[in-house]
Amino acid sequence: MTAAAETELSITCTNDAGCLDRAHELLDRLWAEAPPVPAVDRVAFVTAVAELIGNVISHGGDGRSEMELRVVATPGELRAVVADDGVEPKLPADTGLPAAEALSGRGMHLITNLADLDYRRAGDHNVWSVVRRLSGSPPKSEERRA
Amino acid sequence: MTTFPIYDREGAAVVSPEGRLDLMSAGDMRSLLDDLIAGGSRRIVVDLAGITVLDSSGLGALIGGLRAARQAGGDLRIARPNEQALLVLELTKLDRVLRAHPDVDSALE
Repeated sequence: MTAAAETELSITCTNDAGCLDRAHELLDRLWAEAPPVPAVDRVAFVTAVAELIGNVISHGGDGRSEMELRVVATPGELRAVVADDGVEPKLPADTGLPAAEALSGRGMHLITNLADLDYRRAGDHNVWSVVRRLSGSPPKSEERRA
Repeated sequence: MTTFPIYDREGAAVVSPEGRLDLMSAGDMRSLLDDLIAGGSRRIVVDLAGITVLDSSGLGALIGGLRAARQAGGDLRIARPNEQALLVLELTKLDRVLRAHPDVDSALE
């Protein structure tokens, strides 16, 4: 079988509200262009990516002028990478749930329960990634060794 | 662009937003719920059938509306969340506070 190994799409955006709109459009395009992805993984990935972009918009570094979003679908996983040129953010110490009546503070909890979240500072950019391992796909070899 | 049609059903205010209930629309949703309560509405149902994506900010608007409604002696209930909204409610354990009703009528009971 010769399935396309990867489907990759990206956008660069400068306007906050527009970034979120375009991110959802990009994900819709991904589902249209990539081989079928189980609904449970699509829903989880959309949720995690929306929260991640929301976080960058809400808590992103001062001086941020643009954001790049790249999404990749492979046979085993869905991956999103968000890079912005803002100052380095303060990362939350814990991602537990706030009290039921709290009005905010649930975004990181959602992301980390739906995908693997990673952050690194690369030069003058913040680079975030979320990776959703597809249901039923085997673990990566390095994790089997670990 | 998220819109917020409202109609009356058996004396309750039913809000049936269309679009995404997220960072960009949560503020409008919260203002609308506050206005309804200030205007005398005590029973509010948010029909989520037209919501394509619910995020943590949207959840915050619903929780804020629930708090305000209860403080005024009323209640806010939700109906017909899609699969994505249900996932968000469950993972945040808010499904215990905002129980998902299968339709507007059962939310009114």
